[in-house]
Amino acid sequence: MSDTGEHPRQSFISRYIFSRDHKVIGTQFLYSTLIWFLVGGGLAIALRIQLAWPWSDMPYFGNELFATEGGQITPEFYNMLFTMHASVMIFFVIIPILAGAFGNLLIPLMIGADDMAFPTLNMLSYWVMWPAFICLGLSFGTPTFGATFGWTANPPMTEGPALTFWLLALIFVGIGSMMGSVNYLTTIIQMRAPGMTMFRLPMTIWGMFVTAILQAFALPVLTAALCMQLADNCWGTGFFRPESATSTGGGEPLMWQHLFWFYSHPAVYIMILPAMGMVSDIISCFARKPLFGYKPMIYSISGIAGLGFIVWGHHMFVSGMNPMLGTTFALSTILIALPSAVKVFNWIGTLWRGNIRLTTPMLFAISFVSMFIIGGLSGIPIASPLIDIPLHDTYFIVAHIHYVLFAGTVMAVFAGIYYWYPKLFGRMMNETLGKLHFLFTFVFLNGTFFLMHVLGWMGVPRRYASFQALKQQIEEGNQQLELTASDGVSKIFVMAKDYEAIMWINEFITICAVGMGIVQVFFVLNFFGSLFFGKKAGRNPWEANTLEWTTPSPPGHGNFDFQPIVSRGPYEYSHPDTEKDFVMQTDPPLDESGQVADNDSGEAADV
Amino acid sequence: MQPVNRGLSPWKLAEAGWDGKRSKNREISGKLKSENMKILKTAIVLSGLLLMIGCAEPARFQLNVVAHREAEQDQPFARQKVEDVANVLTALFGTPDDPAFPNAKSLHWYLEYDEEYSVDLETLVRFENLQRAAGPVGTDEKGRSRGLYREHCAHCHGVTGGGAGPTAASLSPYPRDFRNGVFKFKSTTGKSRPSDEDLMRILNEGVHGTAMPSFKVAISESEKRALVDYIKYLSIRGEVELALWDFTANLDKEERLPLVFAKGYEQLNDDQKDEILGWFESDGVRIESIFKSWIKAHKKPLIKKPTSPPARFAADHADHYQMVDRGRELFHGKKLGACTQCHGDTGYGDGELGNFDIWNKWAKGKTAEKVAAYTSQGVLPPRNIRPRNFRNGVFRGGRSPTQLFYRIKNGIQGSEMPGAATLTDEEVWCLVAYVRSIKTESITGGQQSKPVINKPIH
Amino acid sequence: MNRFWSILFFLVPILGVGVCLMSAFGIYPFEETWLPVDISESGKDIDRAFVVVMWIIGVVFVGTGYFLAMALWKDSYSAGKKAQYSHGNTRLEIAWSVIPGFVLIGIFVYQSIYWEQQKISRPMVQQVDGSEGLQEPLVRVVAHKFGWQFWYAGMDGKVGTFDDFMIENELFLPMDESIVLQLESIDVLHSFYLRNLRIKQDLVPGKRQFAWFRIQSEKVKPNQVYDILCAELCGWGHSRMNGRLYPVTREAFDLFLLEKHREQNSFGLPVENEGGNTGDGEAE
Repeated sequence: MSDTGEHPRQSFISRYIFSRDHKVIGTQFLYSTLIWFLVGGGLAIALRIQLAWPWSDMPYFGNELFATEGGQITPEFYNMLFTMHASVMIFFVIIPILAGAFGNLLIPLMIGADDMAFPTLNMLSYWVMWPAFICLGLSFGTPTFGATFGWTANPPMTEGPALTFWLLALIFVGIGSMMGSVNYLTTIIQMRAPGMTMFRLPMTIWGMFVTAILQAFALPVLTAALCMQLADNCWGTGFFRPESATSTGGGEPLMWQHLFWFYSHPAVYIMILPAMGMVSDIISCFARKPLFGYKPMIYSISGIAGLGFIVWGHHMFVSGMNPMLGTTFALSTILIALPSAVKVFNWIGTLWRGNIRLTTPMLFAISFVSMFIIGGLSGIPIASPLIDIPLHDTYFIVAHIHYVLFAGTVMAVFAGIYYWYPKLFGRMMNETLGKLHFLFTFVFLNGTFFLMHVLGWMGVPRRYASFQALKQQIEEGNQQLELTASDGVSKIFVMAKDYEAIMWINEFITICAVGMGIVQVFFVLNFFGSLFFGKKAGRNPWEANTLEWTTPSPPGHGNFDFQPIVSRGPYEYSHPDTEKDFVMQTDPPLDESGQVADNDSGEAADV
Repeated sequence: MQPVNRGLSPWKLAEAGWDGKRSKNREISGKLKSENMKILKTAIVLSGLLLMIGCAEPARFQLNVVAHREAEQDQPFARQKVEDVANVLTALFGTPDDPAFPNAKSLHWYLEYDEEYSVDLETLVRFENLQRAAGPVGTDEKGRSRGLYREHCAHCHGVTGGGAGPTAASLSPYPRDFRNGVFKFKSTTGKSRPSDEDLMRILNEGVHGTAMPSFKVAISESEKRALVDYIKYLSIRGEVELALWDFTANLDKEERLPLVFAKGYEQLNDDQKDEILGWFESDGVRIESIFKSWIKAHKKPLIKKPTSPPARFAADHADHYQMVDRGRELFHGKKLGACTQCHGDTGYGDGELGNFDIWNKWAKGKTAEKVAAYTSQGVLPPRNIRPRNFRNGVFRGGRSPTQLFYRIKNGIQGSEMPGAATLTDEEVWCLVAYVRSIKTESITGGQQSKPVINKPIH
Repeated sequence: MNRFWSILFFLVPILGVGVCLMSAFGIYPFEETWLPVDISESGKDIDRAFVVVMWIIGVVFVGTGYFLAMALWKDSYSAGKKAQYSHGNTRLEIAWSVIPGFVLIGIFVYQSIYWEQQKISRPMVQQVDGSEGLQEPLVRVVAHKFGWQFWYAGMDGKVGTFDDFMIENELFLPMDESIVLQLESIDVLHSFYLRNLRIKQDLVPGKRQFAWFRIQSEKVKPNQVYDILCAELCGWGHSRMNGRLYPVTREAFDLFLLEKHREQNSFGLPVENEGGNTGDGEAE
């Protein structure tokens, strides 16, 4: 790090551990989340193995924990696997890597500020993640080896010490996110460089901004609900528990679902909007073309955020909620497809007639668009409550969420890492390894998740440890099986071929999932190898426009070695009046020809 | 035993040289599919193996900690002696992956060898059933499910059948420990073993109010038969283990268990045979009786069929309340030694709560430290017995009148519920009628005779 | 190399739609992977809606995929070339907001009709006094960990009364008539899922739900049984919570009710004959 000398030298601890520098905090978030990403991925592979080869000896988990059972895991352990996979991936990977890592790294750099508005709060927002990490880590030590109730934690089946730890972890994550979002909002509103109007902000910042608003308004609801369930679990209150053998009751299980999804649906947008912003920037940069429809893009993310607050009921179409409400939520849900579609069309419009450089980050960004199309489109059938009846809680949902969150957000995260890595560490990542990583991840991820749609419309329920419920009918080989039903009439089970299909699809998916896990080695090698052997990056290796590329790589304390003054929007690529195909935001206005490249209006020439 | 395909896990297949044999179903229509995926599979999964290192150990039977420690009585056995018990059990019953069942020949050192007995032993636990239920989950060469016990039962009952599987601790009540041959919900009288039909009935109906589900439609008839045989196998194995611990406790300090089972009777010379026979003479009866009593329950279970209930037993009969009233008298009366003592005056099951059933009896009178010494070895923490609460209308052994008749007439073996041998069948039917009506009875003194019709049941 | 990536991205919609079509038409290796056999009357509405929506999104899928791949194909990087300088096109923006908007609203309106039939309007029947009333449930389904109790009406013909009898995990239903089920749970959330009837309804403890449908006998193969699954995580036995549905004729159903009533409520054993009042069908 090139110290600008304005600050006295700091000790190691205050510089790298309890640092208030947004870049250090962002990097801390990045490393923490990447480690949790490995944990979550390991859990996913374990559960995939159980699904493809049910009750076989499970590598590592089975042999360590269930040695006397012959290495075979229990159904409860399987529940733990998918619960913890989801909890880790959502709360410890995707939300913190977008808001925590990229938000911290990019917001001050891209708006031209020297740091966050509240550096200490920023530091706290990272360190409050640690109690969460510890709580979730402790929950692995409970008798069930972790939470086993699904990441939606629907009462009244939730109970036990694992629930306490899980709730505490989420509460801490919520506190951290809350601190972060307050900080981001203040920073973006207050600390923009001179000339950086709101409509000159890059889409990344818009994504972060809207996300911060969502977090600030939706999180308190979740935190309250979590505290209520904590009270239910620890002190026997009955907010969400109806009268039963173990509870005096009086509570309402559906209330939890409403409160939970009131946050957790916006959370889906929290998990995708910053990714959309990053992808917009990357696509515009490598297409060497201004972003198509900058303002419609902003309106559509705002629209997504606004509508995002009133669609939570679509998770509950068959939950026992009044079906009339289902109709209402169906309308808002189906409308939210509109801004998403507008975004996709705009990305394609940006690529159209561009001058596309297919670097690794660009490939990941384009794959985000390509995959988001699937994730978005598969949302339309399940947005309709009628079609949701057979598809709800089947593998169709699993496919949908993974196309949005894995094939979408995680691919965007990879794009972001490849794109901003030179800025963070001063070196370029290896392109060959990067492209190999992209190619195999892309192929395997489609192999993993696409066929889940097929399982979904076959009606295979999710969260099943094995499909023996569907297997019965093909027992005893291909022969029809005579079985006496309780009325004394002999019933014949006709062989159901779909069980066979379920099994081979599951095997195929698992093989692809294992493959996808393995090829991440390319990424790990590339990430750590490039730290030492990567080509040195200059200030602006990608020839991009936005402010962060005017700083040294990596930026020193205080970020900018000059006061950036912004004179245009972020997407002035291939301006007809300039020699180069990019004009940085800080470049002085093009005075000599009398033309000021001002794109505030957002609408210009034809296509 | 020829496990063609011990579970479907590819690392095991890969170890075995990838024989590529799938289930029959898949071989027919999915042959090409498997072929196509084989290359992919081996390449990726084998390279995945490199990342996920872990050596699979076969499942193994655990020794009965409670029986072991009870037999020790504070004087720990030498390790040799403990190993002897384990060796004898392995010699007789094999391992979870490779089970064995003694035949008449291997037991004839203290029984007069006879043809019938040999046949009985073979039919008591059929070997093909044993094979089908044991071992890791997978399919055999005919495409039938194998490893049924571990697929359906072991999570709760444990591989050993000790009722302490990985899920057991969180369940209430605990899963049944098969190892002392005591089963609660059976039709046979007294201490006799349950009949095959009794075990089958539990598999079919489940045990209401507990975590034991109904397997009626989940698995096929032949699979259930296999599981019944396997449960008998585990139970017999457990009882033999108890007997062996008793032997061990009675031995002198230097003396060891004669390893006849392990060595094989034929290889012993006559002197040794005499010695062993002499040794077993005092105590040996017990092992013989284990097999004999199971054979008896299998061949001709001792069931005292109830006489038919009177017509007014039907709930919609006009005089039904008379039976209920009579039942109430009996329930509260002195003749039975007071049902209310455990089940409470109002039938809430809130009477005597400090008792233990025989699976938890070891904890009786033990200090907390001593109990902790047991539980630290994997024994589930002891729980007091809960007398049935009649107010929620859930009867574990089934709510059908016949089953309730057996519960009252025969008692519930293993629990503190005694059999009502002194009652006539008519009186038992009255009690059945009363017990079934308690949940609709007013709590304040049981004045209401007629059950409330049309009231929702919960 | 650019061409390679372009083809790779175009393969996504091609293969994606290909898999859907192969699944729909049962082409190798996707035999038997389309929607489960439908035996209900209203299932075809859901299936049709699903297919319609799949066609719409399939067209959009291929269309967007085509333009994405074409952009990569023709506009790949060459030194000296300059990209078009454009910030957007308002008319295009309006077009691609309004047209999908109409399509989406169309889907919403189209599906709402059937949603109403499926979940909102419980069937009405003529009551004794001649007025229209909600149809009473035929069977009471009580979910528990981990199984289904099916409570059938006793001789009084009503479920939820004292003389109901229960069968675990086996549901017998008459064909060709409107059936209402009353769904309850006694412990945690469950979901009553009949794949072949396109029925799914979560069961919330402390609440009563209803499901209604009509089994069409011409769609039912003789002696075929169907799965009853749980579709809401309820604990370690979630995947084991399976029952079977036996569609039977009305006559067989009545006989079955009588048999079961004899067996379970007139108590399994031969009853001494005493005036013949032993549950032989004299309903009160």
